[in-house]
Amino acid sequence: MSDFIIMKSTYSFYTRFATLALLFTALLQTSSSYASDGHSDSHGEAHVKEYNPVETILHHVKDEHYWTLYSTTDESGHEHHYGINLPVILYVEGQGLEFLSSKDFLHHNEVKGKFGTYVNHHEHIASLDESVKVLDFSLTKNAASTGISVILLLIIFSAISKGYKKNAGKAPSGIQSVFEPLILYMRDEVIKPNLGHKTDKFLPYLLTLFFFILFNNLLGLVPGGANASGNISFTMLMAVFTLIITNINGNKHYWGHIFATPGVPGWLLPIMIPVEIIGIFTKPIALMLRLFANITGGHIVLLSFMSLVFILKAAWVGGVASFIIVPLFFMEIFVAFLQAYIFTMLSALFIGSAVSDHH
Amino acid sequence: MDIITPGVGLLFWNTLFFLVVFLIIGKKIVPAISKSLKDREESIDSALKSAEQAKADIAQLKADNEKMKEAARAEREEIINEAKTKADAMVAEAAESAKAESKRIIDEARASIEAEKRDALSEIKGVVAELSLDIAEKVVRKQLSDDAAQQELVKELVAEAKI
Repeated sequence: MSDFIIMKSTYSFYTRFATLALLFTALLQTSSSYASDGHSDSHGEAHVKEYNPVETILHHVKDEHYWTLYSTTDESGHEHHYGINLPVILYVEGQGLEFLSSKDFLHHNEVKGKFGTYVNHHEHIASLDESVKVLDFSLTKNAASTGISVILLLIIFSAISKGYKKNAGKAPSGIQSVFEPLILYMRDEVIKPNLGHKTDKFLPYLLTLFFFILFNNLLGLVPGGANASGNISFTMLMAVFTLIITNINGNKHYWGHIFATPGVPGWLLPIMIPVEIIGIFTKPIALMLRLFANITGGHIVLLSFMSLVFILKAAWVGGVASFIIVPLFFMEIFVAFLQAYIFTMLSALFIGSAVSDHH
Repeated sequence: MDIITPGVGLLFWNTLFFLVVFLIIGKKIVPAISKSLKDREESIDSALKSAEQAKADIAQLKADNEKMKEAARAEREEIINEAKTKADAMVAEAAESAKAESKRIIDEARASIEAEKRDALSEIKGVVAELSLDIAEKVVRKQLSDDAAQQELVKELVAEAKI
């Protein structure tokens, strides 16, 4: 119910925004979908390959080095990519760091650097010399998107913090009043019931977690945006943080429950202890997979309906599909909030059960 | 498969970004927000409590006023009653004393009347004795002249002697 209220507060802004976003997304997907299929033709003849929805969708769900906003193919069959040129940072083992430009890697070009020549094969950059191991630290599309979320978070939260200084003891105003219900809801309904008097200790982590996931979920829905929070690296990291915080703060009840489960006969312990230790890891793994699957799944479903136009090769399908896509888009916005909420709630639950005094 | 393979680059950047956000927002801003939220809640709480207190105080004051009024009314009643009984007593006393006084005056009057009467009587007795002596003298003086005249003289004397 309260989720719904939260939804409502952002609703009016998103109604206009989402409609625009949707149109925009549809446009962008159109141009870039051809780009991902039709690699430049060496014969110089305009030639469009059969549309492959699976490839297109996976391309959009996955990370890439160059942030493609859209691309075109001219009459001679040359691809033109338009987007944001992100840096490619490579760590060449035993040699050092290599700074390159992702634009140069387009069209399967071989790029010469200080320590060798590299090629981008399906967004996996490797050295042509196979004996040289390369670690890819590039600021990819997902990384850049998360970076944008960091900037947004910092701007918004410094404004909120300023609001609290200005309106000390008074009613909130401006952006502060937009976020206060979210903060209060998370604190009073999600974190406090699980953590009780230890709320203050874990509030910084859990609120950061919530807004970090939320902002990345929402940025993923912005047209041309990346699938940052639907990336396994992102969700894994959040899950690992929760795992670390849970186990660092686990008290003697928590560890007692793992190594000497109360009420279990001694001869069962050789079975119980491994099971409990596996249990430590299954919880964050479930967190990781849930967020990954929900966000990526949402993107895949939206893109699938958009792909209908190109599969059926008729413009009117787009009109029909919009009746499905528009509600789905709103559902995705809801899911963005819901998944951030669930991740935070379960993190609070796990931490709460590890630090609770009573048994 | 690479969709479920975490990349080292993304792990690095996301760790960095999350830590930046955590250190700035989590460690600095969230505690500040939490504190000001708590302060505000407390101030609202105390304001409500003091309002409640003020309300209770006013009610108490009203009740006190009412009590005082009641007490004053009772006191007034008492005073009036007392005054009434006092007045009644005074009136009764006054009546009593007036009665006694009047009785005394009457008695006195009676006594003086008695005394007066006695004096008068004794005076009358003297006068009568004198008169009798006068009459007797005159009778004795006129005795010789006329019997009838004697009779008339006595009558006259008696009439004269009427007091």
